[in-house]
Amino acid sequence: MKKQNISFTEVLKNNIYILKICFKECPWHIAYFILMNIVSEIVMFFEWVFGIKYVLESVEYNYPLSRPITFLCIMLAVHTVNALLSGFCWHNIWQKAQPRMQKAIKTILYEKARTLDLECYDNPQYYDKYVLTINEANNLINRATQLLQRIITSVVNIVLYGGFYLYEDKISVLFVISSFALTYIFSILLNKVDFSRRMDCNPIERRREYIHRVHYLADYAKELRLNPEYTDVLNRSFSDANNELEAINRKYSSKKFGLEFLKTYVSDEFIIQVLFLIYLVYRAAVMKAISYSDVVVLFNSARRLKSSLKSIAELFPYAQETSLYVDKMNEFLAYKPNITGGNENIPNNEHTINLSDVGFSYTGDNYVLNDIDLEIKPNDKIAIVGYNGAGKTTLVKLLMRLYDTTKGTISLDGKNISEYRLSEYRNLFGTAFQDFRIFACSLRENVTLSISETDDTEIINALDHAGMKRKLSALKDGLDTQLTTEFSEDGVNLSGGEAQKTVIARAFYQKSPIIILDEPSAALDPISEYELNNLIMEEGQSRTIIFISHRLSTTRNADKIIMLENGRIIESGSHFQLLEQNGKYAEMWAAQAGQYK
Amino acid sequence: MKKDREISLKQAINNNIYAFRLLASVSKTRAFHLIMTSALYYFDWIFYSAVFMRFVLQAIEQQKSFNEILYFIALVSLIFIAVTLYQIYVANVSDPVTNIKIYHRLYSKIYKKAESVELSCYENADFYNKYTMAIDKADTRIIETVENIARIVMSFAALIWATSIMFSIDSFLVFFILFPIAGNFIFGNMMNKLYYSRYIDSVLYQRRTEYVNRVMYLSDFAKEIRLTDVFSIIHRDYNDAVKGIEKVTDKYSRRGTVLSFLQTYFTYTLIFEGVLLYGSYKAIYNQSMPFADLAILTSVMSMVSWALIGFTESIMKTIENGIFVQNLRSFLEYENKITDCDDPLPIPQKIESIEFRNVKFGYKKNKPILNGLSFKINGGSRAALVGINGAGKTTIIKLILRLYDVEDGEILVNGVNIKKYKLSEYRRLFSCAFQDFKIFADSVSGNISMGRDISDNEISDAILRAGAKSDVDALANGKDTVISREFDDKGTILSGGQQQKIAAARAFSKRSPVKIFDEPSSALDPIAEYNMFQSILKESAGYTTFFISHRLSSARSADIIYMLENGQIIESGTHFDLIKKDGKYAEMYNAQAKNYLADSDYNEYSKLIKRGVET
Repeated sequence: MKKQNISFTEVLKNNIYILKICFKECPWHIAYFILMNIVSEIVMFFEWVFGIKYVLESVEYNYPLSRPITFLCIMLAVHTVNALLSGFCWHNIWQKAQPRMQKAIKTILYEKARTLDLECYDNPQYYDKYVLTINEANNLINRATQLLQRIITSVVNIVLYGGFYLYEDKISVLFVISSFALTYIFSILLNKVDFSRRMDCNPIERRREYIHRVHYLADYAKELRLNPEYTDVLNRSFSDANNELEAINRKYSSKKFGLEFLKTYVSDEFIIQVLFLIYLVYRAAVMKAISYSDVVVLFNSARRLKSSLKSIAELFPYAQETSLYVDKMNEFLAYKPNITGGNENIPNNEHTINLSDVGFSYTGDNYVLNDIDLEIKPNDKIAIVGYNGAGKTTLVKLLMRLYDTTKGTISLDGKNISEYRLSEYRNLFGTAFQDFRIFACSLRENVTLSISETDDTEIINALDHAGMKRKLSALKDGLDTQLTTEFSEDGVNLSGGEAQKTVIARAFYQKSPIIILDEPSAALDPISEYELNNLIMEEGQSRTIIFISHRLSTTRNADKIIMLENGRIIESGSHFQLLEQNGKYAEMWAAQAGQYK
Repeated sequence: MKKDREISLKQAINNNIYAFRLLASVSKTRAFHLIMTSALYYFDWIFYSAVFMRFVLQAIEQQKSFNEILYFIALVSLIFIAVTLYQIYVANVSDPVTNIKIYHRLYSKIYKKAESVELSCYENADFYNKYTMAIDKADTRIIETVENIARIVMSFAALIWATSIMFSIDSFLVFFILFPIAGNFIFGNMMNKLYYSRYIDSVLYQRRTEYVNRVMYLSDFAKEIRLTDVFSIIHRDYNDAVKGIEKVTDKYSRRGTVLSFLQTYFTYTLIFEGVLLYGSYKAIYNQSMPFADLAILTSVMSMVSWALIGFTESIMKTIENGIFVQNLRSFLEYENKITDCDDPLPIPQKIESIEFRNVKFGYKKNKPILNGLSFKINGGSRAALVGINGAGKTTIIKLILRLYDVEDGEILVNGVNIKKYKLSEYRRLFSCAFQDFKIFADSVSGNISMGRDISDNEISDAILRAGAKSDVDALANGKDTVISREFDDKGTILSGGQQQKIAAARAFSKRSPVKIFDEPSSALDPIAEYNMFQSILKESAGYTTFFISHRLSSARSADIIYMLENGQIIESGTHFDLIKKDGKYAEMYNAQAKNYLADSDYNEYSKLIKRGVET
């Protein structure tokens, strides 16, 4: 954990920010919560300190019986009220407040997340920095409310117990404070030692954790059975890791032993249970300055006061750590997306897209695409082929404006695409990506990806065309079938090929003028692949289709084939033109086709 | 708080004893210290607050000399220093080391078992879920289970001791203990049931909020969220889930409040105020209770309450722990279904034939994938398995490898049922390249040799044959480069295609009479795929080979093609036989080939041939 010098005001500001969100969402719940905590601590004090002293002194000084009895009856009544109110708080008020506060903060984060550039998700640096804060949102709420509770209880306790001590016997306070101070110092030292130890252990534990995963994840099970000698390799590695960990622990043991003794015995047990006790006995028995009841009560509450002091000491480090999380969250919320739209309306005609001298790099030095010049006319069927890593998917992402070009421009109907409204521009495209996802909702919603009212016939049409007719009729709940078994055992898990067809249906359902397909037939068997090719031909008569594929049989029917290598267009033209050129495309074609005689 | 399965109290006790024996077998030291520290914890507490304090207060009351009291306090302190030193030693010196020892020995047992059970266990959701629950933090949970047992015994002993102290002060006081007993066993139990019901009712809503969270922060869904309106669906579902949780809370609110009141009141309030009331009555009115006794009573009764709570919680935990141990135990005691028969035969040196005779098999009961499948191939021949997804191709391979046993029928190698061969040696007959291979966090060489004793040259050779030489040479440490980010965030990872070549090299480096290739090139571009295929052809020349691929072009070179549909072989023969037959294989082949070779393109094709492009 990095130690940063964060100012007190900043820590305060950050924690208040979270509490404000909580308060705005559930003001009465928070008020009740605060009140409950204050009342509970006061009642506890009265019972354990004031109450016991009151009763014991009645016995010590032989007061009339009515005195303790009235007090105890009052206590019973107070307890009844407190217990009922407290129960109501935990079973109703606070139970409801939690999910609502979490929702409040999550909503803020989710709204922001949708506007982030895709780059934030693709680039691991940005991802860790920005996106993972979403995962910590619940933690933030818990920490902030815990902080609130700790502040309330420790302040109330210090006031009550501290006040009591100062009133009864001022010197007692010194014992408690010195014990607390020493314990605190030794615990910091002990933490440092333990931190070192954990840092030493960490890389070895990672190794151990990996071996653990290999044994319990089903993915590796087959490999281990087919390569049984490898289990010996793993087991040796496992033994070594454990032996190293043992050695590390032994190394630190004497230091930890010493510090712990100082912390637990000397600073705590000895000062409180020996020295303080002797002092109190002396005060009562020899100096006759305090009552015996005082001895009992002062002694019993020493721990309580000490732990309140400890709570207060720990408040700032606790708040500080929360503040670090909030800083991260603020960075996340302050992020200004680079990809924003202009104000131009998309013209109502058939669209032409022009890429002019387009270049792209994720990092600034390594160019993934270079000198791309391309014209996509209405109803063109364009195929993009090339080796793995040549830049094909990147080109598609640029077309969709998930990224902006580093060099050059992309224009739609003569205007730079950045001038158009972003969502309107993106709506021009229907896409089926290679790494698509099926969502945990109905089949209908998995096709439309929207909650607006829709006409089922269009959806069924799209699914039919994509080759899902048979599967759809086999599903007993039809379009309402819940996909994935995320929430229900009755949910349906589509096979790889069926999922791919659903995603293709998604692309065609939108009725967008431009369709983009990225490796649409990777998971399909030959017959389905053949049907897909026909679909592309059919739909391509009225829309622009751009597709990437390794299956040159699919790409062969395109109007224009673009071949990329190392981010550059090396060959382009129709299938026959490229075969004539006898270049790399022809070579690839021969390699794949030549086996079909 | 999940109750995955109810088990009887008897079973729970049985399991807890098993856990104790297990811990003792793995670390006697820990078991011993565990019991001692638990005992000392309660002893310490009661002795100090009740016995010692009472003595001191009595001494003050009786006006004993200050020096005498001082002396007594010093003496008792010595005892406590010894106790504290022991506890600190255990926590800081002994336990950290025994933790590692226990982890080591326990998990070695578990891993050994995991390596030996049959594959179907991993694919059986019930078994697999129990297994993952059992081994999740198995080491700490076994320790916790035994600590819990100690706690039951010691807290009970503490309860008896505290009660006897109360009894010795005034016998009537003991009746007050009934209050916390009721509070714990009756109301506490009802409260637990309420928590559980509330959990069950809300768990689905909780899962939905977690799902939404995942969708928003994982990069998997990022594109869809930006390109479509799917967020509206996600958002709606989230809000519905939160409303659902609120409704569940309302349902249990009133009952929860009342129960919580009753539980608190009985467990703490009534005994506390009651004892004080009775005590002050006895002390003031009856003059029959000395001050010192009343003073320690407050500590004693809170001790009774706490010991009771500790005791009941431990009893509850015993059942929970019992379930966990049950899972672990049934895993460790599981009898493997795929085992060696008595007197297994040695594996043959040369493969003459591989035969399936009327094989029936399904992963799930009543859902057979193969229903009476039969075929026989001769040693040294190449067999291609084709068919649509789910037809049973990979299943056949898994059965040949004896990763599963057939339900009915036989599989024979050289005319002998494979169950008669020694399993560990049997699998040495095969080298495989699967589609779902795994790369381990090891060097390239390690990933290829997989623990086998093969020379450096053989590894380099395998890399060459797999077409990965340029890829491996480009790595910082060549073959010795570790290909994973597991232990080093800046580690090297290979692309999907490169990994596939390494997996092929793994298979190539193993010299075995039977070769199996299952979609070995799905992630490769056409040129790499073509080269891989040539390598495979060369590799498998003269060996018995099984080949699965969707690219029917690779089936052409097979000596025999089996076309599967619904778990049956519907067509078989050489490529030309099947084309001539004009059945389903021909249909599939032509569908795929059509776009490569339309009739009108014959001219183009012949031009290619003339230019000498390899066909």
